[in-house]
Amino acid sequence: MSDWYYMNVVLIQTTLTTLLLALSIQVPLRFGVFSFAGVGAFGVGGYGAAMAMVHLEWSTWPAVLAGTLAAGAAVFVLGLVVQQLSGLYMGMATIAFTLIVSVVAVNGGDATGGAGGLYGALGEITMTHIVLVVLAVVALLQWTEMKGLGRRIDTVREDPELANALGINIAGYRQMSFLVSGLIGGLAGALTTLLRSTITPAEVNFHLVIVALTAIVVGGSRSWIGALIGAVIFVWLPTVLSFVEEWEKVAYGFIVAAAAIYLPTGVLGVAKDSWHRFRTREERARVAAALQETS
Amino acid sequence: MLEVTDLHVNYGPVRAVHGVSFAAQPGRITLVLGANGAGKTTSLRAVAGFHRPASGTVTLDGQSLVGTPAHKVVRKGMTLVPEGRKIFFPLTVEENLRIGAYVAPRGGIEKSIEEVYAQFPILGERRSSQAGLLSGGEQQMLAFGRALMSKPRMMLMDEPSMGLAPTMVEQVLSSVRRMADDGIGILMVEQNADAGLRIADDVVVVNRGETVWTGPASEARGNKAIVHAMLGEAALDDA
Repeated sequence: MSDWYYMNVVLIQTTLTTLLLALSIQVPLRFGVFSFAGVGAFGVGGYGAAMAMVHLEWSTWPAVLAGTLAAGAAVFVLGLVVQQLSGLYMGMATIAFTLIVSVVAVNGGDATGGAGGLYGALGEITMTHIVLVVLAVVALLQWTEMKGLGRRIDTVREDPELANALGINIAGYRQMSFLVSGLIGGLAGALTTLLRSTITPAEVNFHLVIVALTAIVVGGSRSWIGALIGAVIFVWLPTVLSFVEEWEKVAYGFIVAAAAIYLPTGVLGVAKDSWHRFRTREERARVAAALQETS
Repeated sequence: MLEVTDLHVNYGPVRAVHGVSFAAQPGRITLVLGANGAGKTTSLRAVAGFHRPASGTVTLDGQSLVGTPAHKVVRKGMTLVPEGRKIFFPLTVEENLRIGAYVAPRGGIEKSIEEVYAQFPILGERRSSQAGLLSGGEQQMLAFGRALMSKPRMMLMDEPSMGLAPTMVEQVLSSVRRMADDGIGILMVEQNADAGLRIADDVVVVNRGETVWTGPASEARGNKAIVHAMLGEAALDDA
């Protein structure tokens, strides 16, 4: 066990930070907001934390906090600006935000280190720290999935007009989803950066949108558990596939495409559906047996 | 009492409603009639806060509602039962009712649910069934029950009989009558003019974005010429 752990410590850390990134995209989706701003937040959080450490010589956790809050504030303001957009337009605007973050990073001079990025921001972050942070985020999200609040969020997503007619302030809920998305994305970026000690503009790019989105599509978009399943699959699949050598990327692409086609509700959704079907069948069998006895 | 005076609503350059006025009293059913595109639903939605009127006044018990967003209108005691029922099929009847309790005070939710079951016994019998397994009429009653959870003084209804079997139309509309008899004011848009007129107290006829006739339902019923004139020949012949 411990050998396995030491061999895979980086993969485990990456799984957890990828989970946070995926959650930053999943949160707005649960509110019916097609926003990728969490990826831009990843960049703001990463740069924010690195700049706080390198330029201001802050210690690890104040730097993480600074990056996270900066990302939360940036995405909150973005939310105010793009509030009126929906669907694909919202998606485009928030991807543009991500690209702007990387352009600013390239042209930021000494502050951001330009195209070469920032180096030497090595935080003192242990596995225990990451696990605790992720647990705290997951606990918060679990609370938002519980009955009352979870149903309201479902209503805002599935039928905004009905939500409004029932007295739910959908604009407020959506704005809140931007803030939470920014904070979680920023946290993911800050932790990732301080674990690696470096961040470059090339890392804050469209491929992160794909990483986060695939994790949710494959895992399941309605619950943090789906994002966890997706993050595990996404991070570990390349190592499992290493035996196919140069075909790895192709095999990987096929698996993701197959998942999108055959698991439309993600691994979690399919598991839930089959459990539900099993229960219904049991219920029917019980009713049939009871009927037979009485006749 | 809900009072609407000289309501104007525009969609961009299109003047959808220009001069709708009426009053809806508590304990009475006010039926809004008019041909397709006359501005009935637009007026209803503007009153409920979904569209901001270009001009005119909307007051509930003397308090102005113009500019109040839809989710706050609910807290002022007026709720819209939207067209098409909008029930969550995978959830149970009771879970659907709980969604409606968002603005209700926490302590009163269980009591409100029991009151809805007393009003609609069929919902009580099926409280733990999936809402998707209810008939269309039962789903409409569930939509009413969900709206009642916010304890409204005034309910706005958009086409409650739409898509229902004829026997169900009777049941649903008589449940609307019972809610009015309990003291709730009801403002109802209904395509099925004949069925609507049987339960309504007051009638507002809207044509091309304007109020063209208001009066008691008995007069509209007795004077089919009025309705004919406003709705075209087909309206009453169908029903």
